[in-house]
Amino acid sequence: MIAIINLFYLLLFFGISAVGLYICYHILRYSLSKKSALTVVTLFAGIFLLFLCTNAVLFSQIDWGTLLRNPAGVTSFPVPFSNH
Amino acid sequence: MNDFSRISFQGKREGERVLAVYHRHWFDVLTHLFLSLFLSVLLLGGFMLIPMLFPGIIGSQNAPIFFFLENSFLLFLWVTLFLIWIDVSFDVWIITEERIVNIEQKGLFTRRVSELRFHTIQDVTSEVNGVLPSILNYGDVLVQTAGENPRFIFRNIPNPIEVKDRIMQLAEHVFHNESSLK
Repeated sequence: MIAIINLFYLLLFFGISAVGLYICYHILRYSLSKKSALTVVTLFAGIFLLFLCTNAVLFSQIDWGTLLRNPAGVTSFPVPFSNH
Repeated sequence: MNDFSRISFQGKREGERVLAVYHRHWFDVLTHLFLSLFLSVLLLGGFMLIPMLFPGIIGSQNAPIFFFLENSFLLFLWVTLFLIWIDVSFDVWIITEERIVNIEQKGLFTRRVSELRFHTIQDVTSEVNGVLPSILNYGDVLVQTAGENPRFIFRNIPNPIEVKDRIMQLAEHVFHNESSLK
């Protein structure tokens, strides 16, 4: 099961990376002004890479083994403003 | 006065001088981005409020999955925002000494480039519809031609009346030049 989740995540990771790369290519290729294209690509790619790397790190920190053995840990949401 | 000498586009001819470049009005771009921006604000607000309403979520075994989902949504929104921005702001109308070039972007993979020559222009109309377009002065310019593309539309561009006048001036200029040659 964990292998399937990892594989699914890997597909999503490469899929979104491909979309990000294509966006950069598109901006650089079709912008009328190369200077503003570079600025926009730097902004997009910088934040995109930050989110993507953080996403991979956060995914690796999820203990899927425990979560799958104890699904209640995921589904039971803490009660707001509990009296304990 | 803008300098368009550095502007380059697909199909630009050697020595062709660009006179003007028009993009959609910033407010029109913003209206297309509104939903994504609204969702981003909602999402960020939600992610700030959830740990305050449910303090148990931080430090519990749910924390990594919560942060992972938060980050995934943000990543998805960032990409969506740029996909919409490309779709809207890569629509461009270029006026050169010889012709008008319209580059229309539809999504990431569809791009339509059409052009018309000034001598085919029959009629030019500007349209400003609605309260906000009237206040912010943006609207459509419709160019009626005798060519294959009977109607050429500049969509939601700033100062449509000025643009219409400019196209008419250029068309008349070309018409007079051609008449004097005959």
